[in-house]
Amino acid sequence: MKLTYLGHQGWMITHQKTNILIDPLLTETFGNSPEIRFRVYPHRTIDVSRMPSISGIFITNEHLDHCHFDSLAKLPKSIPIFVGNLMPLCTKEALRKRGFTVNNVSNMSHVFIDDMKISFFLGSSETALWERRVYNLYITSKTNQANSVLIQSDTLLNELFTEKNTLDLTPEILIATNNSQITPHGNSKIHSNMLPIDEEKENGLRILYEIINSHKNSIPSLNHIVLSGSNYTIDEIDECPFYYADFKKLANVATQLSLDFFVHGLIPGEVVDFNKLEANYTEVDWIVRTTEKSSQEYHDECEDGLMGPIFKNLVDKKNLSSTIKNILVSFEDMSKIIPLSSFGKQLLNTNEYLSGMLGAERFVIHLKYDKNQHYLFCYDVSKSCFVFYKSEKTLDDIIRKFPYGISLFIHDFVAILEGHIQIWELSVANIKQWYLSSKYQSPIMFLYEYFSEHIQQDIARRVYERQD
Amino acid sequence: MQMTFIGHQSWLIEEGETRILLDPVFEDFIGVSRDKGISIYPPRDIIFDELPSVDAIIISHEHSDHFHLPTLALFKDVPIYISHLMPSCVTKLLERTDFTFHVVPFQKIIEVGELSFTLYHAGQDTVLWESRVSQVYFQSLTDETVVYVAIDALLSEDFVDDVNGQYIDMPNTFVVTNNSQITPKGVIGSLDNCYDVSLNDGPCGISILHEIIIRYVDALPSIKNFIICGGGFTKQYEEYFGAYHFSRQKNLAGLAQYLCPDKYIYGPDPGEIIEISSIEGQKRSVNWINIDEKKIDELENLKKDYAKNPVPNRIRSLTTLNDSVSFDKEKSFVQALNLLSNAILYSEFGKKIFYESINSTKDEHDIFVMVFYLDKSMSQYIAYKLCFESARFIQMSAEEEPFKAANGIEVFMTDYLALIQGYIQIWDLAGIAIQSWYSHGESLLSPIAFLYCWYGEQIQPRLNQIAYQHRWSHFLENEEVV
Repeated sequence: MKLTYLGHQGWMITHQKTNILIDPLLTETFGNSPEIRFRVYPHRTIDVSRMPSISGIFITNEHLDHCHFDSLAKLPKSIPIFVGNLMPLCTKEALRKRGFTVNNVSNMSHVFIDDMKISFFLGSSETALWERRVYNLYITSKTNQANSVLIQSDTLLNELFTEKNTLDLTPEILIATNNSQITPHGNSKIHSNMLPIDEEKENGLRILYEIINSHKNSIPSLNHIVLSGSNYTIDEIDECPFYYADFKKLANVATQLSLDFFVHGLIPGEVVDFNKLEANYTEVDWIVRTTEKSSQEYHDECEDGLMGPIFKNLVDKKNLSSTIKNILVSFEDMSKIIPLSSFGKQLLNTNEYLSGMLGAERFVIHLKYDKNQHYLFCYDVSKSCFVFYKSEKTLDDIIRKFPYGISLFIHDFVAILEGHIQIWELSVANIKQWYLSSKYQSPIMFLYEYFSEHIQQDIARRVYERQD
Repeated sequence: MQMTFIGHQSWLIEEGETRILLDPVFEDFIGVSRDKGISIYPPRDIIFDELPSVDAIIISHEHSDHFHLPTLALFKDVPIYISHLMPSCVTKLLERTDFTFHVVPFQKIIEVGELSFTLYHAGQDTVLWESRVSQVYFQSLTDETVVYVAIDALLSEDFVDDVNGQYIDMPNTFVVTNNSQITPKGVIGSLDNCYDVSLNDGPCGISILHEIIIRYVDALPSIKNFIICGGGFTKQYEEYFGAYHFSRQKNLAGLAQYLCPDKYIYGPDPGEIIEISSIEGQKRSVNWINIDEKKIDELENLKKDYAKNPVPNRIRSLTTLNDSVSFDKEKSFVQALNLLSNAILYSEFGKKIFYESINSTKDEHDIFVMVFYLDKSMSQYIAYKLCFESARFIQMSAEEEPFKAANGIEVFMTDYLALIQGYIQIWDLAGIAIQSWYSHGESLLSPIAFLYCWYGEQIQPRLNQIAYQHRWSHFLENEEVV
């Protein structure tokens, strides 16, 4: 097997003369709107016309950075696309509408392409709700499991690979996912907390232990681990790459900490060939790197800044009051889902805060219009609904009053509700949050769950339709 | 407050004109003798005459890399502090010298000049042979800076409680021990399993760092400054492969620093001075310690050569006792085996192999064996199998195959006799002259780990006291009081 890194979580896998693509992201940037553009890091351009011919496209999940319509549009419509049968219907419809042939593969089933056998395994049941429809792909030769590749994608590995290996699966190469998204300030982007809670920060040691040692422990057949994962900068908003975005350097450190185990980190355009006894590195000329500075130089220059609304035009003085009414309507649905979530359970269990015992209002969504006009939507745990206030207080006072909250611009929130962007795009760009719980029960984690495409398919359809 | 690294786990803690030594080892080796013992790594010379005066010495526990009588003899008038859990072999030995020593309780603040120190008892789940360890909390009486030295054992729960209850200040700096002793593939290690010498959990350096920098301090997440020390020795097989992997703490800490930008992690070389209030920044060195860069390079090259051409080694004999010793006439040998068989059956290790025998299709006699080599070439041996029915070891016949047993220990007969007669300590054999194999894979419940417990200082203080006497008789001035 030969792996060509396209960047982010996109790969071309070659076996004998057959090439297949995994979650191809072929454009320089991605994102649902022109306002927030995510640039694949290390930056590169891909000349699709010079790419070798592709026999099949495999998409592990519905998320934009894996199922990327603009990238797929650059490829001939004749190439079959294979997805797991649990991929949300709205996503499959959008693919078919764009003229692609979509083939469903059910869990634990496989397809053959020439001598390649590609099997789909739904990720572990421990995976987060919004990643529940993500598949691991297991790629072997038709006849044997030598040099077999397991692709983790954005989910935990199916237990058949780890705990109960009843099918005798013996992956030798794992493409493992580093989705830590740590900023140079030591915070994980999506877990940042405005409260000064002394929680252990994320770091490279935890990441390596998690993605390398734990996997090697549970899958003894592994000989190589190849790093992959969410890797981007955000144009104009945050041009600083994540810490450990330099997979090559991270893999190099991991290998120095190893006696006889190989960790590989590739830069886009690099190819690692596992057919020989020792992994062999080459490059393709149809991927050209355009990153100008080293990640260290970016980190030295970066600043942690706040900014104004990104979607300025969506709300103005004239439609402000109708906008608030619409938001209140949309909160009616959400307010009934909160108690079902682990975040909601935390709200119930947090009875005390800075100024003593808490009342029923424990979670607040703080929407800013401008410097002076702020709106509070307070969640009341006894009524299971949101209560609306026009706020006179400063954000500091609000944070002191409520143990859980998020703060963002009303314009940007409307952009989510109307399908201009998705929650994850805004959460890494222009939302602040605070919480007393563990990072897995934060307000933003709840919103990720709530806005999961596989549940809120109507909102997802709105996003897809805007791009037609 | 500042601390100077002397090598392995020896430290000089200093505030103004007050100086305390912790677990000082000033020689270049510990153990039986220079050629059969354990050399300090990175190798260094100590110019004793240049060392400023010292006010107190703390001995954290009984092991030979912490309690080193030849070094203590250099400081005859300096009071020594030990905890009340120190095994009697050590206190009895100290009684036979002219040294002053104080037995102090845990969690009591002791003031010495401009410093105070407090001993904390090892974490409760620590393995038996490290369970007497005192970890030490040092505080400056001048500026209240604090360093905690987390020696060998699991982190003391009492210490965690005292910090979290705000009875004591959070340490500015936290010293952790890397005792991993990772030998290259094919080379025997202290707790290794002959069955599978390859490490199965991928990059073991990541496991080590994760263990000491993250998991170890789970209960105290706000600790930011780490010093890594320990594992600072090479065994006599150093001609094979140089030093242990990841035992140059300077290199390991450098990698750890890249992975943990949220912390500050430093691994000193001997002689370096660390400022406790802020361990960042340029380090100075003392003029009374010189590290031997040439020897370090030699050891480093050996490691590289070994990696290119690995030659698996076997145990080697440590003793030069008479090779033709008639062991079967030795009453002490039979007695030792009888005691051993009983002890095994009482232990967690014994429980493990007992249930293994019940659930196994193997004959119970194939569950645990002891193989004693009778000659240097290891061609002749005598083997004993553990019989659960009689709770005794039974000599195996020539037709039986001891190496097919599920668990076992191999050692030279002369070494074992030297051990049970108090000529050497079990630690002298560890990783060189004794090895075990076991089917369950838990190294801390391995046959060899059991021997560390059984022949260690805590359970056999008398035996170890005899070993001290053999080694250090010239330091002992008084007759033993029986």
